[in-house]
Amino acid sequence: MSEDKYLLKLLRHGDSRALRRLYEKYRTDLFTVALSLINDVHAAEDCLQDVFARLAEGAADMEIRRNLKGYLISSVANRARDRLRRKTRSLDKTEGFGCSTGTTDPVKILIDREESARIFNMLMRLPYDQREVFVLHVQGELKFREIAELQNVSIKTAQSRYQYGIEKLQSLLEKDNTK
Amino acid sequence: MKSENQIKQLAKGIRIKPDAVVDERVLAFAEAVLAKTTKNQGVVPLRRPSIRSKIVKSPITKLAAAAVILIGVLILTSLFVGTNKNVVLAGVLERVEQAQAYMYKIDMTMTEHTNPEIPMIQKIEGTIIVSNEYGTKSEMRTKWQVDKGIPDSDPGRTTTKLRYILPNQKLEVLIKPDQKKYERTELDDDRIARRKKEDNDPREMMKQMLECEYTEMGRTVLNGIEVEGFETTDPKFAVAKVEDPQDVRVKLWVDVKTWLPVLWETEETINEQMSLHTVVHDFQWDIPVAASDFEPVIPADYTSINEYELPSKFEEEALKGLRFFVEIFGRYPEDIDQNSLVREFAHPYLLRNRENLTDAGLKLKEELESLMDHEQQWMQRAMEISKPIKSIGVFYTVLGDIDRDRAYYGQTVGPEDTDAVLMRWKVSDDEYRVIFGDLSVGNVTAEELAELEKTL
Repeated sequence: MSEDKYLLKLLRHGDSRALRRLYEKYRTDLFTVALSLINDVHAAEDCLQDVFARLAEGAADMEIRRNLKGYLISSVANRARDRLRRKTRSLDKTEGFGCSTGTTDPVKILIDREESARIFNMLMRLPYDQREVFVLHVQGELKFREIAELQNVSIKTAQSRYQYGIEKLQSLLEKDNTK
Repeated sequence: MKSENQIKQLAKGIRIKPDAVVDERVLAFAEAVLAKTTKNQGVVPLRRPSIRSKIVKSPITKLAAAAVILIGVLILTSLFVGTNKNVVLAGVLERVEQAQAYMYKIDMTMTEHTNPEIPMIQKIEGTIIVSNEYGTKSEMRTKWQVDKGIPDSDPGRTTTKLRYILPNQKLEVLIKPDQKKYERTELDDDRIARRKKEDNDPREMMKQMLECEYTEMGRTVLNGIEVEGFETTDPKFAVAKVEDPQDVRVKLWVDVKTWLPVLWETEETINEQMSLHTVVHDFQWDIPVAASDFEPVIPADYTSINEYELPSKFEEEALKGLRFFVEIFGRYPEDIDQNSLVREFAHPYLLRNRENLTDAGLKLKEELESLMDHEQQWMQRAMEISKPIKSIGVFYTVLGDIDRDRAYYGQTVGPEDTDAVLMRWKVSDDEYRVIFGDLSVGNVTAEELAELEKTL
């Protein structure tokens, strides 16, 4: 049994040390994915809180068919979508789904490597569906099959979105280099 | 042009950690949820064998279990007109049920190899007293043996639990002397029945045995007592406790003079990695008991298990935040709900276009303005400044998350209102913690708080 399954087992029995260990283990991955998806520090923090509260609440009944990290990453993605959906309702529709909402600066300061900050900003310029596939596949290490399930599309569509995302990032980086 | 692989590597290089305040908030909230869930679902602490967590939950399995019990009752009914063998065990059950009060000891060994890196053995020794009139009292001592544990584990630690099942009061009381904690839980009939099974109550064990196919092992002598043995490997024996046990072997030895149990031994293989060995022994039948034996004594310094203890650091950080806010704005924030506080103050433009700042606030504003040409430094400093203010919101939000009857009066209370309640939250049934206008802190009763809040 993997450490995760073991920790989950402890968690089912109400062991808060297991919760802390899982949090320490995955907080950076989950926060990175949340922030890359919604580009809002406070919303990403809330996302993280929701995901761990759900984990604590549902551990007793939870059946993890795949790895726990994959499950947590998917939970982050679902919450990020919910948040963006709520946010979009109150935004001018022309502003676009999942675009930066003026909180890029605090994000920027959290990323200390210049080149990573640059790619992060480029990511924010991808359409949400493409960005989601890219982030979940590259940062979240989800398989296309898992992402397709999340997005409720075929595996082929998920792969195409990823490919379009890569091409757009290449073009954005190219343009940025020629400035 | 960068290749796909290069882009992936760059994206993988984005590693963003939440800040420490967020860590505390997320964990505090999740731990509070965990405590609440554990309480509501009756999830058992790990110190009890994990077998208990496999109690049948789904309606379908419950139905199946009910069916098994029904079949068991039918079999039981037929036993009295059945074979001699069945008549013998039915007679044992009858004698056990005639006892008004009895005591027995239990030794359990739970072995788990779920993680080869962390083999785990739990040994539980307990003494249980059962009275038809008053209920059940058990004292269980658990010894943990973990060769390599998760961080902060305490290999070899021993814990004690006293449990009172009081059917007349429909109450279960659990006391953990090592932690100075207790828990009171309302009991329903299902829970009472479940506890009996968990305690290996001989009446429940006999009923289960009678539901199963079993064989006679003949007579032998145990500790000078002539006994007759019965054995079952029927998986039905454990069906009410464990989902799909791989293997079960139960041996019962009965005194041939009294036809009362002398020794039970069960071995259950739950799966390839987990097994449980239980020995129930030293039965004493029809012992004298008094009501006082079943009255839980909870020392005054014990606290409820379900009471979530807020880390004191949270309160300290919030106080620091309030102090800092007064230093720069000369007043308290009007609203400290995390979202509104963050929206209004805890962002990098905290001091831009702000008026009515104190001297200290003006000084900070100037400092920030002098850094405007150095974006990175400016951001860093602005975030540092907003951090303590954010802590106020985090604390208040967590208090709300864990239902602490919080209130905040920053709209009407200022630093000059030394004795007025600025913020309060519940710490126990009749006690509130209060931050006063001068940022002094103290505990008051609910009655005193009502008086204090009248003046607001």
